[in-house]
Parts: sequence; structure tokens; C-alpha cells
Amino acid sequence: MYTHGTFVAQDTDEKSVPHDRDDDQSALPGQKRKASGVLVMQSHDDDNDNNQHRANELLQSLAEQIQDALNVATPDEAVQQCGQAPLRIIATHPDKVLELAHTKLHASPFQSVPLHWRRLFEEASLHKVAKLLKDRALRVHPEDRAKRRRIDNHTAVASHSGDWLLGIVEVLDRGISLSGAPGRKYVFDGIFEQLGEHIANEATPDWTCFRIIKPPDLKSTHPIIRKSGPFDHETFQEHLRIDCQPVIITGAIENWPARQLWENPEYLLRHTLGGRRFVPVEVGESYVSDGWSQRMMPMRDFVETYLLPDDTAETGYLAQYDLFAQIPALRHDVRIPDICYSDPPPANADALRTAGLSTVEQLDEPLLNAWLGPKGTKTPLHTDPYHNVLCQVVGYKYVRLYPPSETDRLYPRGVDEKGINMENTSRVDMSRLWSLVHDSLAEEVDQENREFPLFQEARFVEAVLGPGDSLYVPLGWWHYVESLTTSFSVSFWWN
Amino acid sequence: MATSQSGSPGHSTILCAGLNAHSQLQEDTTDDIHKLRPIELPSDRREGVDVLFSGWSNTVLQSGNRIWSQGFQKLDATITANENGIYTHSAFGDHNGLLGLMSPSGDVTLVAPGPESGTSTLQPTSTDSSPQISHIALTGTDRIAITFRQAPNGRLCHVAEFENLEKFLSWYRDPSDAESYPDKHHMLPGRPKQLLGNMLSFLLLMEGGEVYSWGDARYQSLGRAVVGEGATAAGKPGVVEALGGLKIVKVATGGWLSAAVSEDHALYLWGAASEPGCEGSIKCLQEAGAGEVALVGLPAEAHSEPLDVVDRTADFTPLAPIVTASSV
Repeated sequence: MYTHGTFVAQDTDEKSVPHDRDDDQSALPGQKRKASGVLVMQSHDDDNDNNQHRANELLQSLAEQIQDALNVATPDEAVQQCGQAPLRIIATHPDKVLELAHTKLHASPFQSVPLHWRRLFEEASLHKVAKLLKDRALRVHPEDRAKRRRIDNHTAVASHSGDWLLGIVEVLDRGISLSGAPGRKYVFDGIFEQLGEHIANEATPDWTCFRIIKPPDLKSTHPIIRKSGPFDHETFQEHLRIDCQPVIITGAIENWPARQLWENPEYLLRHTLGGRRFVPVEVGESYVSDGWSQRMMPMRDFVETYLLPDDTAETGYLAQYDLFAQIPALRHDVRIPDICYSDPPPANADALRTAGLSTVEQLDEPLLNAWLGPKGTKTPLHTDPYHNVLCQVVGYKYVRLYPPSETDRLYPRGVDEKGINMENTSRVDMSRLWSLVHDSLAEEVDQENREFPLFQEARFVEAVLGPGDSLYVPLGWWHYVESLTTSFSVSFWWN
Repeated sequence: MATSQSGSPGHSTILCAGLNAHSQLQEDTTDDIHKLRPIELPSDRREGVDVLFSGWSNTVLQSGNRIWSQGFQKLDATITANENGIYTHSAFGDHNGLLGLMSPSGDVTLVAPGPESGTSTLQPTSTDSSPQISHIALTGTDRIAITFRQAPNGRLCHVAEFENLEKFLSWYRDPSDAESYPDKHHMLPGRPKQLLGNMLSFLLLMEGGEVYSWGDARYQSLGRAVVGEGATAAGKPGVVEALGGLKIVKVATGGWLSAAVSEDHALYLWGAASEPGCEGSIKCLQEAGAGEVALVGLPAEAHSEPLDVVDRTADFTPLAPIVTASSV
């Protein structure tokens, strides 16, 4: 049974036995160490042995906890529908079962992924983690080099330059993200919690707060109206009844801990297991541009590669992602605005045409999304089948909104070559037609106007959102968003 | 996966490589087989052995009237030949093993699982009202497609699709029941030569050399456009136009990848080697668009030999081994 903070005394005989110093203190490569920080890696043999023993005990304990949880299976459980062949080898060959489940998950129609394949993927992920933990525990043990060599040859752990913990977190995060953890969420949560405690004393890099330079004021003839808030949902409902228009509410999120805590990227690192938690990042200019892709990477890699540098080869955006479900600690930094509980008025004829509206379900609770990215992220002009509040926490964003009545002037796309319906997105490239921070090329502007002649006539409103602003976007309103600085926003969708 | 190859006259060797987690290729281990090697065969069945079905967890082999399974599924049974002495025409199954066989006369036999991981048995399932079928195929999403037997000079190919095996069987046993009608019915000009299924789609090769594909358009698996002018929707069989004008003599498919061999021994590939999120892709396919195929270049010395493609890979396996008379 793993107990926190105990050190196992070492026999003095062992002091003089040299053992391999492979990097098993879960220290991240290349990190700067704070001068005053107490690190796990010490020059003193005893402490090193103690910490290795602590690590070993934790690894064993976690492996056992997972095993115990996995042993609880019911005969009529969904996963049985996968058939016995995968279940027979899931404990001994979790990688092969993961491959099978991964393929089956990608074979399902976009809308409906069968529960039994999700369960299989989840289950196989946990089996793989248990295996990795056990193998790692054996490696940490200073004796038995022969066993360790054998394990080295067989363990399929992604190489993460010596950070064994990263490999395990990757399997866990992919397990959750691809399966949705329909059966064992509590096991994943428990593992992350204990791992978090284990690395609590790990040194963190010397990062400073995000450098945010306030952009020049937007002088607009069509600004979005601003009102000073916060509003309770009844007051807001009255506002909507009178006039269902976009509005920027100031002062509504002052009580969010996020307002103070999120300015420092180190905070993010601390709550993502030293930046090891894997998050989905969109790489590319925008989701309609060539070469755009999504991939999962450790939070630390995202921050270091795409967020902190002044100039990056490509744009990386942690966009439209429920980071709060993955990292419960961050959920406590925000509060669902009261206005999300108001009843919006029924949609008018134009808004009823909003793409996706007919298939969307009634939400019991608002959907949260995090939007964290550098300067220059562009979300193309599009609609959502929900009412939306976009709360700006860090940095500045330019927003332009067109009402649903202008839809025919905005050239919605059709079905793309893969058969995906893209009619919620405009064909017009807004980023070419507007700029605050760089001049649009005259030829590009001309080209867009030639291709989309009606677009120039469409009426719109615009604004720059700054920290503390909350923007209400009614259902079906077209919106274009471009970040003017490093930016961290949270959106709430409701209906 | 396992593939057969002719070596010296009268003697065939079956080579295998790949996933072996259920010891379906080699009995004494569950490690992957990384290099092609002869498959292990029982000592009393080394002659005239062919691969009937190669799946994620087992390999089903056939020798004369005997069929047997290596790997997870336990099966050892006898099949009957038709009046010409020909045995089973085609087999279909999934990641748990062989599900059924179809004889040359179009009779479907099911593989019924034994009690509590016991041995499976064959269960003939045709009734007097069962339609006459010529080809049958299964996708990784359990959809089934069949082609109806044609008259000797028939030119219209009828294809029926069913959501899953159960729905197919209830129709097969009693096609008059309105509840059991096929999910989809297609009519195409030609005579079917091969009908195959991969993870998400079907491939139909006609004797005239045209190739049709249909199913899900993700990962470029159909090798043709599905939107735009003149394009056939993904759910309906459409000609793989990039192969248009070529006479294709054999097709193979597995996972998300398909291959076609033309009369003049050129090999064409389309699709993806793996789904997103996986490593590995095939170089010549990286630049191919939705309706494009890639011509595979083979080393010069192979050009003069007839090319063949193994068509019995599992729905799951994303590889199609390319076989020539002397090399694989």
C-alpha cells in the first residue's frame, strides 16, 4: 500500500554499490532549475535510493490499483460484444488490442461510435499502462539487471528522451480522448491525482507571464454595443426579449480566479502534470487552409513551441477543446456566466436556417471550450447552432459579427470532397479583408471582392475584446475571430 | 496475414508474416512475425494447402476437403465438393474468426461457435428458398454485400447490401419476408469477378476489367470523387475512374488500402495505409487526392514477370502483399 512521504531506509552495504543512473526521476529534459528548488536528483546516494524506492512503490501501487479495477468485469458488459479474441489477449498484448480498437473507432460513422469499441480502447489503454508501470517498477529496482535488459527489449514505450512518465501519460490521455472513458473515468482520474502528488516537488522552468501588448483602439463605425455587467439571467433575458443582439458585457468575470492565475504559463504547466498532459493542437493557418492538421502533444511542447516564441513557423492553436473536463483543477478557475441560464427567444426565420440546428440536442448544461493560442490565430467566418458567450481572460481578440439575415451575402460552403458538410463556414477569407496589425494586400482584397461581390454589402459589427470582456453571440450569427496577442478565452455554448 | 506462392511445380509453400498474437501463424510464440517465413502446417497436411481466410486472430487453411483454423478460433471440419470436384468458393469472417463459407454453387454455410471456447462447427444454412449467390463480402463495420448468380449470358449484375450478418441470414433463409429485404440494391452492367470488403467499403471487379467501389469515402478509400459533377455518391457503387481504360485482372483490399493489377502487370494503389493518428504512410499515396490512384514502381528486374496480388487479407490488415513468380 503506497503511503505518501515515507522513505525506506537503505542498508549501508548498498551505498557503495554503483547502479545505473538512468533518468528515472521524471525530470523533464533541458529544464532550467530554480536556484532554490529542491530537486529529486541529488548527489547523495541515499536520497537517490530513497526516491527510487518511493517511485518504485508508487509504480507498483498504481499497477495494482489498475489491475484490481480491471478485474471487475460483468458478463453482459458492452465490451463483451467485441468478441473473445481481443479480450483473450488484452492483458498480454494490449498494444495489439489498442490497434484493433483504434481502427474500429475510425471505421464508425462520425456521429455514432459503438460503445463496445470505445470500452475496448479504454480497457486496453489501462492494461497497457499497468504493463508499463510494472515494467518500469522492475527497471527502477537497482538489482536484477538481467531482468531489466529483457524488459528493455520487449517494452514498447514511446521514446520521450528519458521521461518515462510522459510515455505513460500519453497512453492515459489518448485513452481518455479517443474513448471518452465511458466506463473507467474514475481510474484515470485516480492515477493522475497520485502522479500529480508524486511530482509535486519537481522544478519548473523559469518562465515569465505572457507578454501582452495592448493593441491600438479599434476605430469602427459599427462597434458591438458594450454594457457594464455582470447580469443575472433574468435581466439578461429581458435584454434578449427586447433586442436579441450581440453585446459585450464588461466586468462580468472579475471573480474568476483565472483572471489572475492564467497570465503565467507556469501555472498551466503545474496543473498538467508538469506539462505532460496531452492536448489536441490545431496546426496551420485555419481549419480551411491547406496543410491544416490536428495532433495531440504534451501541454509543455505546445506552450514552448507555439505560444512563447515571438515568431513561429506555423500557428498552433489549442482550440474548441474542453480542457476543463480533462484538467478538473482548471474548471475551478472559471464560473459559468449566469446569462447562460437564460431562455433565449425563439430563433427568427433566418436563424432557423443555421447549419446543424436540426440535429443538435437540447443541452442540460452549457458546453465549455477553451481557446488558447498565440497572436495570429484565425477562426474563419462561421456559425454555431448554439447561443454563445465568449469570455476573454488573457490577451486581445478581434471579432466581427454578421447577422443571420446576411447569410446569402456570405457564401456558405457546401459539402467537401470527403463528404463533410461545411455549410456553417463562409467561403470568404476574412483575414484578407481586414487587418489591424498588418496591411492587407490590395490585390488580395480585390480578388476576394471579385470572387464574392455581395460580401462587401453585408452589414456587420466588430470589436476588440480585452481581458474581462464577455461577448454574447446569438445563435446563428456569423463570427470571425482573430487573436491580436497571445490569448486565452473560454466559450460557453447553450440553447 | 498468410499468402501462398508456387515454388517448384506441384509443390506450394505458404509464406506468412505479421500479427501473430494468437499464434495464428506460428504456434510456439505470440510475437509478431517480422520476416516472411513458411507457415507451420500439421504434419499430415502439407500438400495442396491453400489459405481460405486470414483474420486478426486466426488463419483458416484448406487442403482438399479439410479446413482447419490456427489461432484463436478452433475449427477442424470437412466440406463437400460440388459436382466439378471444386471446393469452397469464398470465405468471410471478422476479427474473431471465420464466420461463413460459400460454395461454388452459392450455398452459404455458417461457422457456429462451440460452447465456452470449444470447437466451432459448420452449419449449412441454405433453404429451398435461398437465393443463388455468386459472391459475398464483409466489411469491418459488419456490412455484407452479395452478388446474385447470373445466367451464363447475363450482363446485369445485381448487388444487395445488408446492415449485418444477422440481417443477411434472415433474408437468405426467407427472402420473401418484407422485413428482411436488403438495405440497398444496386444494378451494374457486367459480370462480377471479385467482390471484396475492407474496413469501410466494398470493391467489385467485373470480368470486363472495370472496378467499382462504394461505402465510406474517408481516407480516400474509394479511389474516386464522391461530390461534384458526375460523381456517384459514396454509398452507391461508382467506377474507380482513375483506372478507367485499363483492364484490371485482380484487385485486393484490406484496412483502408486497395490495390489493382492491370492486364499489363502494372500495380495501382489507392487509399491510406493507416487511419489518422497512426504512424506510417505509403509514399506514393501521400500526394494522391480523393479520386486518384498511384502507380507503384517496382524494381526493374520484376517487370518482366507476371504480377499478382494476394486478395485474401483480413478486412483489418492494411497491407496487400505483391507476389511475382519468384518473389514477394
